[in-house]
Amino acid sequence: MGFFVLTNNPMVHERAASGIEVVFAAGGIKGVFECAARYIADGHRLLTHPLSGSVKPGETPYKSVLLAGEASPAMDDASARLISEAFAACDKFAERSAFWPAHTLRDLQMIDLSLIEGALESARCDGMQAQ
Amino acid sequence: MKLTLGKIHIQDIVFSDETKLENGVVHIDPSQLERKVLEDDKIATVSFDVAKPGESVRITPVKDVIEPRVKVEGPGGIFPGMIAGVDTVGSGRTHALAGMALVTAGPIVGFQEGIIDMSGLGARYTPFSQTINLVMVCTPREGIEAHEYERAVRMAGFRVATLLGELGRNVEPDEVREFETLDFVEGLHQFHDLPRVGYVQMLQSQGLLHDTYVYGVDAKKIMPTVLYPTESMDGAIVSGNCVSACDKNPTYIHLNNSVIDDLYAEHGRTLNFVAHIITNENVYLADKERSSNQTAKLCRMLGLDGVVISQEGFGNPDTDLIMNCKKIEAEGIKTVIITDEYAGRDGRSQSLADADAAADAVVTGGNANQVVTLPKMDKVIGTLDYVNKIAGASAETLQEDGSLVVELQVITGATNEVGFNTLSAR
Repeated sequence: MGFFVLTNNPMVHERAASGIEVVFAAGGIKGVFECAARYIADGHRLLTHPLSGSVKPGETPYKSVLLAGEASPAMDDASARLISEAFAACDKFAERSAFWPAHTLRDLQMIDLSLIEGALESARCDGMQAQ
Repeated sequence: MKLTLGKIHIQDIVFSDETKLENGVVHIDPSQLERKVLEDDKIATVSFDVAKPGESVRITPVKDVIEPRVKVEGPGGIFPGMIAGVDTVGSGRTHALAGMALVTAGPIVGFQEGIIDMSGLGARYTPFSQTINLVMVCTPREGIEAHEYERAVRMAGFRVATLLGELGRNVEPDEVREFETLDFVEGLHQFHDLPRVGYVQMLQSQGLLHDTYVYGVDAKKIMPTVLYPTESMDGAIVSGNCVSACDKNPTYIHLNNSVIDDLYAEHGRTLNFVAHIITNENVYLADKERSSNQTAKLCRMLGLDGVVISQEGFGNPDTDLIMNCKKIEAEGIKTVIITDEYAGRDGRSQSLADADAAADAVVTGGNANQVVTLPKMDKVIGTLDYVNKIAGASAETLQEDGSLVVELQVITGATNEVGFNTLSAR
């Protein structure tokens, strides 16, 4: 069973070269969640929590999620619920990330990368293969 | 396992040419502490300052808060796996420099850590306005990555706290308490008529700058396990968590966990406090399933009747919290969960990112989105350069008159989820 990363984080996107399939999503965190919701509707299961990290939506513009590579015939209800709740959570936080200077954005990219790297390590331990 | 905890009441901290503890006053030779910090060349500079309750002082950005302790008798040393060796701690005798704290501060990442105000409205929301604080402000060597520097400051904090804790080794404490947890069989016999209660503590473990360490091990790598509740009093659990000031557990809170304290207060009277179970809060969903399955299994193996579950953080950990609650309840064990809320500035939004009917006994640490105005302070220890970037602040946070309009999120410990905070409906 394989997996892929859906992200709007350029630092994660660069990792495509290291054998991980990365799908780049346009837009902010909501853009990533919308794209993830479409994959979930098509039968892909969510493998990481969409609200990963204590840097809240609005405070960071970056988000990466891990999705199962194979689509099941039926939509995974738990994945649909998680992405829907995560989308709703975004509205609780004021959007501030547009004001961030370049070095802050880099820090935020690095943190998002580290969160997804931890998940990739777990996925490999589970015997999952990158797409 | 039995621990005698002696508290030395610290009355003051003064700078001096010798580091010593006399008559409740901690004398600090800053040059000695500086050498201890600069043992790590990733730290370029360090300065020390003292902030006392009631002063017009703001400390920001705050990273960790640590209570100095020393192991006087028994195996091991404080902060096992980090400073001391990996002997199992939690027995014998430990002395604490109570009433003071070492606060590590200074820039680490672009969005920064919390605020401690020593007076005014903000002081009412942080438990660390009531401690005499020795503040250690560090700056990084140029070119160091944030996560490497975080480790350097974290370890420097433990080194200095250990040095300070040693000052209490031969001092007669002002207050002595004993904490004892019997082994499984003895406890079962001695307290056979009392409900068996456990404490499940969820540790922040999502990744870079969101870490907790247990005996030196990154908590995201652990399977849920069982500790004697006294182990954390000797620093078996330490914070490496740099985000979410209001609801993270600084090391001080791991050493002084309110849930453990309160359960011990009832131990042998209304309940049998059996065990401290620790689990993690990972990002990968299968890790969450595995950890919550194992946590529920341990609760059943220990024959628990009731469990208190505390969370650390928001969002992703809400899912771990509800998984733990559902699975432990499914074993026929009653649960109470402790969390905090992100209910929006008007308090009308859904408080948690997950929910379940099994979570029918909930204690809240408060709404982290609540907006407060913190008055200008005469002195800032650290820098206000980052104050607009702290979680819960905004571009408009710093007002012309020097006051700060912020959410409670920015205040260290404001909505703490082990109850080590001041918000209350009482």
